[in-house]
Amino acid sequence: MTVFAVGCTLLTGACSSGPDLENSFSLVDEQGNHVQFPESYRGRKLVLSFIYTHCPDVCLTTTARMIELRERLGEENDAMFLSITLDPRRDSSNVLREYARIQGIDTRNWHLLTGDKETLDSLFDRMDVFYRTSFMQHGDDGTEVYFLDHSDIIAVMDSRGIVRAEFKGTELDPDEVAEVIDEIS
Amino acid sequence: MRFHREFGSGAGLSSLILLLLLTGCSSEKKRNHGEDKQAGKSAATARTEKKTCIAGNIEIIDMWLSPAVKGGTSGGYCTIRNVGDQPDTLLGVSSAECSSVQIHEMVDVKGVMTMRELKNPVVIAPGETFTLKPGGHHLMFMGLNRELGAGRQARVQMRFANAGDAECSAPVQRPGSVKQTADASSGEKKEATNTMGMEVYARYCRTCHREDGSGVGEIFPPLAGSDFLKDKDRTIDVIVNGLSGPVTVNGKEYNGVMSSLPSIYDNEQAAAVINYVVEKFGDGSWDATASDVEAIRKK
Repeated sequence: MTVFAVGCTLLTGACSSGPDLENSFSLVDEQGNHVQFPESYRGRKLVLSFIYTHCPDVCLTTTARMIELRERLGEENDAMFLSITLDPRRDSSNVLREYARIQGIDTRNWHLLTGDKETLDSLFDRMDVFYRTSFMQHGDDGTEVYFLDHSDIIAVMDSRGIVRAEFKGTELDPDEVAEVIDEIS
Repeated sequence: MRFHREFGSGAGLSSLILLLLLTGCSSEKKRNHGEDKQAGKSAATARTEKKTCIAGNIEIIDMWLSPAVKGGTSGGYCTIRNVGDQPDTLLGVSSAECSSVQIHEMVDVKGVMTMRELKNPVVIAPGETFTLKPGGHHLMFMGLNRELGAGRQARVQMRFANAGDAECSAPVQRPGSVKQTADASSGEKKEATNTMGMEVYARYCRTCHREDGSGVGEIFPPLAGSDFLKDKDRTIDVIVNGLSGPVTVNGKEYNGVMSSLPSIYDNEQAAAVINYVVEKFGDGSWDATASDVEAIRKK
């Protein structure tokens, strides 16, 4: 009896720390404030989306769903929404601010984050968010238009910075997600 | 895992009949009707259908564009209905608002939303419709000349082989205000991934019970299809309090020791891994809450 018990414990004993985003990512929000993700938001539940402002379809639907979720949670709920750009090359803080204005995002408890490519790439890697350039078009005047294929994920993090659930962004059911947010701490 | 590909705007794009009309042209056939009509299509959602514009036997219904900044890209949607008795072909779309318009399709390839340009002209059979909606097909208005803010009207021209040009004036709207849902994968149940449960299982349970829940020979019982999992209280008890002594699973006897879930995992995390196991390996007929775990945990 003891051999098996010890064997199992020894094998699993090393994995003693809970899942967490170990690394810290220095990013910038749409107001131009420097933030640490996820530390700057520790103590608040987070709803994360991954978007880019030139996205003609998916990101707009996901953002619309998050707006519905925001309304469903109500003003009392202090969950913080974060939309992180997949395209830091074009999506500066200014651009994100304009995007928020046009899409009707209330930035009091919903921030849009950008940063340098390397930092964001390692964050996406950590969170298993995938993107790639889908096609690029060069205009006559030398302007370049490109679009990204990307994962359609909305992640819910608890107040400790641990990812607790993920959803398909474009098919988000606000009631279902609100329930998860209520259950976690 | 990640790679970048760049496709130049080469022959592949420019050879398309359907696309890339670069300037908004005015046409002699300017018919732009807006007519409210009760849609009898769906009993569940009796929306008011609005004809944005018509040309010949082609009706363009409920066209709208998404808000976008000057220089950016807007997505456009509508339903195209052929009320004639001959097929017709959509040759192209243009707009005075922007430098070019293309038609793309979104395809979910293993969780990655992938955009594909339509290579072939859209042919609409008599009596049929072609619908562009979020998550499916969309018009891409690229290189906007001005900001398209919600509430504005955008000028769009659709050219058909038989019907000719339809001159349309479509509203710019935020997607949330349009009650359309992307049912590209209709019928699939939306499920949240129990990430916490999955991670705890991987860190603590998988070594003995295995990734596929098959267990190990005579030593560690299987979880997959296990009759043990049908008993909620007993399952919770084993995980938070451990188990030793003989136990029968699926008619087979095991006699080992299972350590309880370490105390670094709290009740919520215990419930998460329990629910992960029941969902993945059991019949998913019950789930546990942190309170259930608390109640069973031996002090």
